[in-house]
Order: sequence, then C-alpha cells, then structure tokens
Amino acid sequence: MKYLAWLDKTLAAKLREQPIGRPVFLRAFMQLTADHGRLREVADQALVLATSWMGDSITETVWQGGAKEGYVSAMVRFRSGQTALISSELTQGEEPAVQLLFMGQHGSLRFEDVVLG
Amino acid sequence: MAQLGALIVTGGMTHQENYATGFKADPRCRVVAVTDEKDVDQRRASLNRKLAAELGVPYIADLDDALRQPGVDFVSICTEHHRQGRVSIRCAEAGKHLYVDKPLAGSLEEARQLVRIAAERKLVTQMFTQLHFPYAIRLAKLASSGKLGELKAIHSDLFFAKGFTESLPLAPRKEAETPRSDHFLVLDAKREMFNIAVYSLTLIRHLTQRRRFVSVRAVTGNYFLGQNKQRDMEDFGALMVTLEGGITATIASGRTGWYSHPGGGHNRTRLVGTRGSVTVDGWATRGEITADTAKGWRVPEVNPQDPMAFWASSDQRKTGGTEWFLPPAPVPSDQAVFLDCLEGKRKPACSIADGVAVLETLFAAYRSAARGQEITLPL
Repeated sequence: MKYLAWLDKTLAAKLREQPIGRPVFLRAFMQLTADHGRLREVADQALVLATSWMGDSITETVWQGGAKEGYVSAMVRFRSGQTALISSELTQGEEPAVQLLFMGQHGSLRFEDVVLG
Repeated sequence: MAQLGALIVTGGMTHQENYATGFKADPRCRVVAVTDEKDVDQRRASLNRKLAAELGVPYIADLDDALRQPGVDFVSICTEHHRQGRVSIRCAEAGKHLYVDKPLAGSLEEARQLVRIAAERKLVTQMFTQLHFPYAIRLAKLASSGKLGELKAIHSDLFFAKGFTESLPLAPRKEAETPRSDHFLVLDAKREMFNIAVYSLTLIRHLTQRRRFVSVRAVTGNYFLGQNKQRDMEDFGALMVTLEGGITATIASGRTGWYSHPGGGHNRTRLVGTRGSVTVDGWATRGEITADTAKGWRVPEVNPQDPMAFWASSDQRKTGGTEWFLPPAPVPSDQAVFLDCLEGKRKPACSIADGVAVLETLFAAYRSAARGQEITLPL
C-alpha cells in the first residue's frame, strides 16, 4: 500500500531528527480496511512500521481480538524495553484513517490522517 | 436539612488539597476538623496543620479522638497508600461513611477487610475517580447510546505531563511481583501505573456496567524520570485486559514530563463497537489564541517540597500557551456527587467494592509484568 510506504518514510524522517528524543512508546490505531479478513494483515504491516520508527527489534507480541471481533490489538515489546499498543480496526463505512501517538523521552508526537486513494 | 459533617484525614501535599476544598465549597457540607494518626512524622503533622488553618478548622492530632467528635457524618481519607487501608478500617469501624483517595490501599487484604466492614455497617462509600469529569461523562453517554453498536474494545491512554525528563538509558524493567505497600509514593517519585492506570481501569469498569476483569497482561518501564528510576518505581505501565463477556481493553499510563503536552497530558479514550468507533480526547484544546504576542508556553517553577508537582498547591498551570485557561465544564465535582449519594439521590459510580476490583487488577498487573505472562483474576 503506497500510503503505508509514505507514512513509514515521513515519520521515520521526522523521528530521526529526534524532536521528542528517543521514542519509547507508540499508540497506533489503523482503520484501513472494511474486510475482516485483512485486519491481521494491516496489524502485521503496522508492526513492521513500528519496528522502523522505534529503531529496535520486537521481542514479544501479545494479541487480542481477531477477525470475528472486528479488530485486532497487539501489545509489543522491543529489545530495549520500549512498548507499543497497535490496533487494526474496520473502517465501518468511515474514511480510512490513522492515529499515531509517540511518547518520547523529551516530548510527544501526534499524527492523525485520513487516507485518500 | 442539617449540613453533613466532614472529617478530613491528612492535609497539604496530598489530594486532600482538592477533596477538602471541594467539600468546603459545597453548602450541604461542614468541615469539622482535620486529623490524622497520632504518630505521623513532623512534616506530615505540619502539612496537616497547614490545611486545617487554610480551611479555618481545628487540627485534632489523634484520629480516634477526632472520630469521637460530635457531628462527624463522613470521613475524607487521603493518606499515603500504606496507611490508607488501616486508617479507612478505623473510620469504618467508627461507623463513618467513607470518601477515599485512589487507589484504595497498599494492601489487597486490608482493602477486602474494609469492604466487609463497610457492608456490615451499611456505609456509603466512594473512591475518587475521574468518572465525573466531563470527558468520562461523554464517554459513558456514547457507550450507552447504541450508536457504536455492541461495545467490543476500549483503549485508554492517560499520561500526566509533569516532571523534568531525562535521556535515560533504556533497558527492560525488572518488576517486583508484589510491590511493597510502603513503596508507592515518596517525595519525588510515585509508582505511576498504580497511580494513573487506576483511572483507566475504573473508567473501563464504569463503561462496561461493572464487568469483571478476568485477565491482565502488563509491562512497566522507566522511560522518562530519573527520580523514578533511582527509586525503582515505574514511570510507565501498559496493560491488556479482558473483561467478562469478551470485551477487551488496552491501557497506557505514565508521567511523561512537562513538555510532553501543553496542558495536563495526553488523555484519549477510544471506544470500538460493532457499528463504529470513536476517540474522545479528554484534554483537547477547547479555545485557542494565536497572536504576535505569543511567546510559547512555560512550565511552573520547581517546588523543592514537591518537585514533581504531584499536588494541587505545586501544580500551577503552564503559562503562555495558545489555549487560554478555561474553567471546567459546569458538572458536579466528585465530592458533590458523594454528597448526593449520602443524601440518597444516587448510587456511587465507584464504591470501595469497585475500588477493590480495580486494586486487584493493578496487583495482577505487577505480577504479570514481573513474570512476563498473563495473570487470571481473581487473585
């Protein structure tokens, strides 16, 4: 998905400037599909993005929800102890959207977007 | 109707700074005295006397003497956590209704004993929460409106933007399976999962009509504050919980530094239903001024007696922000709601029995973080 590639590049570039110091926590809501069957795929893609943004490898992922429930959530731990909570949800007739909140050691970065195309 | 008599336990540099003033401001209530256990240290006694003077009421240095004073209908209790269980039990045994700070106690056993005594004596009880804050009222309306369909998941982020952060070296935190009851709060550090996730857990319980927590998985971290790391108290906690009936929730909580938010801190709750989702930003900017006079916002001066600005008397607002100070929306305070409960007009949204359910989940969260595995409830 072109949007996710753009999102990865844009956020990674900003985080490299260290405006918030080292990111230590990420909350992500990815509302990108109307298809129950694709929820996990979107979540997996979000985990790849999180790895890029947090600059560390994942050591543990705990899952909640599933296709039947209409959402998938993951609690992720990174090698150096950082954490992420990532959710993939159905669009349910709304515009596809992304909400991100990074907590860094010296501030926070919030990103909210509606996905066009 | 006669005024309800309030006995205030503990004084300055506790949340009593908010609670006691809330009771004093309500015409249905009369503050009788400030009191505490008779063996408190000099600093605590001095802070107790200070609040008594500010309220214009006597300070009674022995809790038992104070409980025997005529005209005491209820007690507002706000001690350090390791004392709160035993103090609350003494007040309950004296037959006084209870308004108690959160979390309920530093010991689950004491908290359970307190609930038993309060039930036997038919006491009205309430633990302080944010359930009567405007954002929580809005969430409760949304959750019960049916607009979202059946509620499936709740996500709560609650961060307090206070303290000066550092570039701490990162490493996975080694958590204690059961935190010592006297290891929740010191002058310059708090266990922040304990102190902040309690609000999210009470909110989630409230939004799900008191569904039971059945499992919890948690991690804690030291990301932001050198003082917390030095004291071996987490400044961050993340939880994944499952409730009765399969509703799930995730929580992130922590003290993230003055500069992490221009106001009180990020506070967002997302409700996920079968027909839609919604995010409520509890501290969203409601009014904004931008102008060529703007200089950027500044954080308050450090109070050496309360360097992390835990308490209202030190927590002066950030100045120079684009959001100007707006008074809270005109909803009744948590203290006013408790007085309503005493008058029989409503039931407490968070009784001490609810507080025990939440406390148990918090202790399970520490166990989970220590063991690296999911913990099932009850403990």
